[in-house]
Amino acid sequence: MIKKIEKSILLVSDDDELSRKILDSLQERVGKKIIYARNMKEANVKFENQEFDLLLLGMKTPQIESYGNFFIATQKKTANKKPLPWVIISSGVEPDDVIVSHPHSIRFMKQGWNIDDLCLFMENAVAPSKQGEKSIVDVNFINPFIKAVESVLSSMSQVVMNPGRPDVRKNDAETCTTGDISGIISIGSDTFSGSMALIFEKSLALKVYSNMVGDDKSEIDNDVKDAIMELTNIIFGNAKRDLNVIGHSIKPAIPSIISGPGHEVKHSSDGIILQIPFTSEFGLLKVECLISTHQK
Amino acid sequence: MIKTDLNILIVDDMLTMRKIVSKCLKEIGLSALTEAKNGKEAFDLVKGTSPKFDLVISDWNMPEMTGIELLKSLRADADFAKMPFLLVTAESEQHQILEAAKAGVDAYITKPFTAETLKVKLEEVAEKYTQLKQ
Repeated sequence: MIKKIEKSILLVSDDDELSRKILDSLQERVGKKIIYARNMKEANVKFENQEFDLLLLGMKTPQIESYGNFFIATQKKTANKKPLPWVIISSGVEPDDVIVSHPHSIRFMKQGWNIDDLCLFMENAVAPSKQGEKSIVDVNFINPFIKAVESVLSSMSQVVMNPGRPDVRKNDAETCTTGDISGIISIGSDTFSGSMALIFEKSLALKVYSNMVGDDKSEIDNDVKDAIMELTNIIFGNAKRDLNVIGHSIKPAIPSIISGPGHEVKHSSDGIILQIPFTSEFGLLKVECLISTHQK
Repeated sequence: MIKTDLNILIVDDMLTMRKIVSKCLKEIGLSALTEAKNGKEAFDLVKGTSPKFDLVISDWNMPEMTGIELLKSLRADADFAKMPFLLVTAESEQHQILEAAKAGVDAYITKPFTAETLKVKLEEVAEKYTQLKQ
């Protein structure tokens, strides 16, 4: 999996424990050259004297100004090539200004990550897929979807959804997610394409339907399918609004529904799927998001 | 305070949303409700119904004729140009709100919403159209 990363990584980290963990784990897993800098000043010197393929930042106390200046310097140096990918691991402030300006070059990992997640992030950042597309596994991209799921289900069906730890999986038959009823909608703009899926357990779908329209059902029928389709549409609409405010240009789309006990949910693009499980008093919901950037 | 005997036309291609809007309206005491599945069906109903509907509550994205097209058609028709019109939609980006305002919408409700939100918007519309007030 990680063999695709064959060139040099510049690791910049002011967190000794994190640096040791990354260096030990990645040296063993990747078997490739990792150059280490303790701060942005050191990183600038190393960056001037060597070519890198990926920047990995692990910051205890992120200095947004330093991030921004260093980011601009790296992009100037690679001006005629594709943007140099960054992977940022932060235990503190999110460098929103950098991410908003350059959403397709940066992958941002929050606390709670493990080395497998990091390997997937890095592989994803540097390796284009067979179709000439590159997947985005970006927690910042999916945050509006998480927010929309919580607020829409809470206000429309009075069901409180509790998000669990995000996970990543490949889009293949072996790891397909199963559910009882799912709403799927494409996510497209001029620069990327993908899809979002809301995968419901039957018990939760029936409760949500009942609370939304005031009518009880014991089985998933056309009325319940219609309700899940509308929910998918509203959740997508809310997330689209928030993402477009920060510079994406996501186009409108029409959802589709799959139902049947244990049906498999397949996404049409290749790449890595970010999945967030939500628990509730009435059952489980999994939200999946797959985005692939169009390579120029 | 809004009248409770208003004749209201609910326009949405999704059965669920028609049910939700009906449920919310009934919760606030309004029960004379008619439904249409798209803008075209709604426009024909508006033109052919006597006495006139007091108010239209419409979705934006629908097949055949969208909510904004329905609104523009009504505003362009001398008989219905002043019909109170609410848009209920998942489309809530700034340019869409501006487009709806330019077309002459009286209130704009973003999904998700509650019966209370709908009530507040109806009261706002009733401030503009005194015939809706008790």
